[in-house]
Amino acid sequence: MITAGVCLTLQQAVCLRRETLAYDGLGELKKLIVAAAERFVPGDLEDFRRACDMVRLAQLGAILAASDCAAWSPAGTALIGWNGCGCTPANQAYWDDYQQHGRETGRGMFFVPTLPSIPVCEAAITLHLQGPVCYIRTPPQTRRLQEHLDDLFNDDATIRQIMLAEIYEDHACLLLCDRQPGPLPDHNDLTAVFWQAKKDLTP
Amino acid sequence: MTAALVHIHHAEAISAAGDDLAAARATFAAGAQPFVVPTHFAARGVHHGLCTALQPAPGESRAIALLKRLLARLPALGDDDAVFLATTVGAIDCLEQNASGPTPDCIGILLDAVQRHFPRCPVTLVAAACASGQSATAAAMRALRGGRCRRALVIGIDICSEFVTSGFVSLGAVSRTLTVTRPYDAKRDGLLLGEGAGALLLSLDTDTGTAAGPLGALLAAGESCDAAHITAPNLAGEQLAALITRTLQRAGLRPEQLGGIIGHGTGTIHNDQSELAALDLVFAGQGACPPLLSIKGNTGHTLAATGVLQIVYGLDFLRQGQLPPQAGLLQPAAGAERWVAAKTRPLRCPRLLSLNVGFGGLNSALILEGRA
Repeated sequence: MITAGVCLTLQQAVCLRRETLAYDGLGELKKLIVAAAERFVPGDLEDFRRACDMVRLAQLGAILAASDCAAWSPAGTALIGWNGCGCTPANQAYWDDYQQHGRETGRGMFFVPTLPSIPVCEAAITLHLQGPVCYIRTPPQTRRLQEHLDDLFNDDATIRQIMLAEIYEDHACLLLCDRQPGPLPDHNDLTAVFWQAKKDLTP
Repeated sequence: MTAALVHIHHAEAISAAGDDLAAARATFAAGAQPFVVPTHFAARGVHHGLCTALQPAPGESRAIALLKRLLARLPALGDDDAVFLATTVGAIDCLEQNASGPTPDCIGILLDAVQRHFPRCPVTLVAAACASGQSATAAAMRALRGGRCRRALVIGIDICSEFVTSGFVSLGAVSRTLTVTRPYDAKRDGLLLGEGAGALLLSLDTDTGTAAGPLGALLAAGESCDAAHITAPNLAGEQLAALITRTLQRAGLRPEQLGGIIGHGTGTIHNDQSELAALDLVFAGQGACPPLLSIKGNTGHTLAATGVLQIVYGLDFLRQGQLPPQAGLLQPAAGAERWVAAKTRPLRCPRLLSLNVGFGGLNSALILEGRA
């Protein structure tokens, strides 16, 4: 079942259980989190400054989702990136930069994010998650994602929870699911799942 | 309790080592390094492991052409089968050729092509950087064990491209020699890129419909993340060692019950150091170590394809009962003497450990057993 989550944009982060945060850009959200460190789970944001927005959304979203969880522990946590916009924007950014440099030299800081698994790996580094981490793409039906969740839980008893991340250029949704029964409701994206869960929690 | 065996019913591989298994066997046996300078992009003298038989039609994506070549060799799938596709960049050459217009979804193009070929099967793309091939295989094993499909087809594929080569050059990961790569060697200085496509048809069922039976079986798979650095591995190898140990336990095996190891072995300073450190931890206190091989000395680093190719070629090594010589090896790196050799070595028993690691600190371990 879903235990915690966050939907965030470049201006606002709505948590499943905690208060909404408003800010002007992800740099300011990072400052908010660092300034009130005691209210958030600790996170390694060393890579934040040079990261693109998709990575930043993953890093900060992971901290917010973990902080939204009543009993957070990084141990036994897997992380799956699902659908979103994958690596397409990062591919174009690297290729444009490479062409602008006369196709002579690429730049590593643009090349590394061209792998679709990089945002979730950066989120794993941020929270020090050592469980399985990968990106998958399926047709946009949460029941397809649910199958992977179930298979992962059934296959490995040491996995206690799975963080799901659907990341776009300007928004992201991250959810935490534990082993308790309660499948993801049938939707096309995690944002719709989040809002249904939020509604169900509202008295 | 160990999980159900996953049987391998069909295996295909296309790489610089060979367009088919027989050709690849000869390449491996000779320790050959068939690297050449590509002509389909400006490679600036950097040698690559190319699928030389591949001839895309004018305007056709090289990735799509390679995929078609692989798909033509695969059996048909049914409604109750599933496909798991591993790729890191997909049809990245579509971006290179795109002068204007919206950015092509390069991994989506490849995914759609697979879906069109198998319209009745769910197709899942699994991306875990250079561990994608084994990660997709692990996902397929879970799906089979979870009863989601009768058979699972795993495809690993990536091509050589200006995009990827320029990126790896920018990271300083490509061998300064530009012509050779020397996994586990004292003088290794980087990787050479390769392209390839591999496929595995898996099932819990032993019945292949033929007298030959399954080609082998997958006993266990495991994945983890170092969670330390986005490009550099943990040089002490602790996370990878812990994963190998867990995977062995899940297979109900002890380290000495492995016959050999196919390492990730990119030929970069840090990858090989990390991997050797991990193996030293797992085999600490053991006398003789199982032989270790990196196929990248023959194929180049084929990114998402490498995990699948390691299994396909691993099946052939198991069939022969030996690991071929390590291509490119002149003098083993300090501490690698007990693991690698430039000569053919017998497998201690018909079981192989196969390792993949990838950017993001991703680790994958998989145990493969030959046919009894």
